[in-house]
Amino acid sequence: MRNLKNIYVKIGLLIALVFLFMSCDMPLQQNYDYESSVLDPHISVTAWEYLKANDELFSTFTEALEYTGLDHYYKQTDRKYTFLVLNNTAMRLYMMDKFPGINAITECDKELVKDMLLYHIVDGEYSGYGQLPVEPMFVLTLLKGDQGLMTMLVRKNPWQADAGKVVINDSGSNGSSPMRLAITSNILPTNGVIHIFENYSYYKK
Amino acid sequence: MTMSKKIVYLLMALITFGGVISCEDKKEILDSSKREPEITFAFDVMNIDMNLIDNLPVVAVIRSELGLKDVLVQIEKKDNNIIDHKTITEFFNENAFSYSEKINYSPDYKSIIIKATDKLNRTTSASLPLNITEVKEPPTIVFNPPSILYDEIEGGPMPVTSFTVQSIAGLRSLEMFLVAESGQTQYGFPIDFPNQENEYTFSQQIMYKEGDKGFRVKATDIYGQVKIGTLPVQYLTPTPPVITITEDTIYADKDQKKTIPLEVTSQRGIDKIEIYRIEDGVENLVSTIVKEEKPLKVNITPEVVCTNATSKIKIVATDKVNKSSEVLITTIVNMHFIAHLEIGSQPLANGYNRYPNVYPLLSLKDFKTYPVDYAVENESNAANVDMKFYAFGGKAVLRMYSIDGGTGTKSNEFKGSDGKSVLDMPIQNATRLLKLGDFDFDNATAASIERDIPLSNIVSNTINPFEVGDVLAFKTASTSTSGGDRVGIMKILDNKQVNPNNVTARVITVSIKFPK
Repeated sequence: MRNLKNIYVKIGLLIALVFLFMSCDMPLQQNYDYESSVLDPHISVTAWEYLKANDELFSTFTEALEYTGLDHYYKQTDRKYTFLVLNNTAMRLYMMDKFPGINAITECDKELVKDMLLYHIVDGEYSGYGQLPVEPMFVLTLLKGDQGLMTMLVRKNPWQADAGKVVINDSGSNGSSPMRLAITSNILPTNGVIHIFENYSYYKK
Repeated sequence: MTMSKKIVYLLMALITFGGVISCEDKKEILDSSKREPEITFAFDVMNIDMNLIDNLPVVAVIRSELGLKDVLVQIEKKDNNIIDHKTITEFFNENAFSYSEKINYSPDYKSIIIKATDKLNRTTSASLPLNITEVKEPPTIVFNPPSILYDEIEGGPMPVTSFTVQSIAGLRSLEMFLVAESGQTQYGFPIDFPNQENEYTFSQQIMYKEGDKGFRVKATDIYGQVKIGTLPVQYLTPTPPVITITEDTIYADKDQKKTIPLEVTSQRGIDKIEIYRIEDGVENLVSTIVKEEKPLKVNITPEVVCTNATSKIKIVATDKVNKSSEVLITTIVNMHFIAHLEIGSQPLANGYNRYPNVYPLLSLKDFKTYPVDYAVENESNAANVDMKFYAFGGKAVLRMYSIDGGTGTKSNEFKGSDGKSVLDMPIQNATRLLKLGDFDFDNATAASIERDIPLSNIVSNTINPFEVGDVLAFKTASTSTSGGDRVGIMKILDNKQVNPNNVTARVITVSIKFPK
């Protein structure tokens, strides 16, 4: 009877030990008080649908895409692109600089507008969520040749006023190209990443 | 050991083993169905110009669905040797790595090779062809002949200026300059080469002249490399004729004919000698002596009538190649003239041993200064001095006074011996004075003095103040030994302090023209 009791005790200890080891499957606790998270940046539409849904901001840009036939990049879902979207202010600046006196984008030189728009489509996904470093890196735009060179980075230093913003052609990183800061970054449509700008970018040697 | 114990120990061993296994990390599952690494270069061909400092970097984006293990960058040389440039094993984003680098290129580089290996050790390779333009030498400039020497005496045609510019890279522009003693001036217009020619030849007869030192060519190639070459030019010219005169000043009465001895020499031969009379600033040709035989040397004694308005005689000698030289002879006609005369101020009234023979009382008759003791001695002496020079106060303001005027013209401060002063002179000439504005002393003649300075304007017994450079007119007193109502002019040439302890102890230097 005493032996049987010892066996039950030992079996009980073994079961407790088993549970102890099983607890190894639980993930380690990451922090104590607060586990941060961000709002889900994903939007369940294509970049084109996003632009059309905000047509009051991007009407000239979408008109330019249709004018040059580049709208299909924004509509397709086969390949991921990073779309550097220009709002109406940016498009107005572009037209004033390159086509002074012309009020409609459809009256501007189509090839020049197309080149500008190709420069604002980057092959691949580059969001601030682990895909862009804080130091400038070269990316491939759809504009071929040296005029298509572009660098990107994301500001991460919390002490900087522009922390979190995506930067195009950071000063000195790409010849004499002017630096541009996104006014809205990291919108994730189904076909890539959208960053919105209030001035157009270009390469300058 | 009982059976039950054996069962317990076996269970313990199994459970312990199972527990240990459960603590192991889960292994990464590598899906081989994912795509192999993709390498995309920013350019199809990389054009590198080693003459430029701002070549673009090699840019490539390497993607891997599985994640990159390493990226190897290699350089392929033209001899097909491949060297490892660098290996990258750490990636910010192992799924998309951006490679960019400004490579120190060498002319024998053929291509850049990138090999990307993913975590399944699947390797993809891509190559970027390099089109390298080697460093090109700056332009060369060759002159033929390498220098130009032209001797006027030997004469003959001017040698043709000829040069060839060659540029491996191609020419962008060319400029030519004529270099002379007076500076550098552009020759012709700059030449642009829109077709980037590799050679340019110039051949032209440039008529160099005296003073030219060279012909400079500046060639710039398409990279902005500049080559400057200079063709030395020596233009030898004999000296122009040399005119030698025996006197630089001629004194003559009105309309007197004066002989002017001249010697003229020339290395090329004298063609002619011209004599001008300068009257009231106008050159009037008096005579021309032509030498048909073009001698190398002549000695002549031309005669010139000196008019009352003659201020200078100009001699111009010209050789057979039209090179000329000239001399000017100052002409004093119908005037007394002294080029330099020193006058002391009142502290030198009776002489100053450290500056002897200079006194404040000026005699226009003698063109000489006298001490007070001389002037007070008798009437004839007193009548022989016409004005006195005075320096006033701590700033030594220069003044000129007539002899008369008493203490109003500071006569009491011009002291002689025995307590006498100018106040004690038995005759005190009432010379009158006038400061002339903008009067040409050097070209003044008896005629111009009489014409331009009205007698009635000279009424003051004082000139206060005057400075070096001023011209003063004077009119003699009726009691003066030089005669009454005669007008002359005086130019102040210099002013200096002669006693370091007395600022008013001064000596001025004047020049005087006094028509007869």
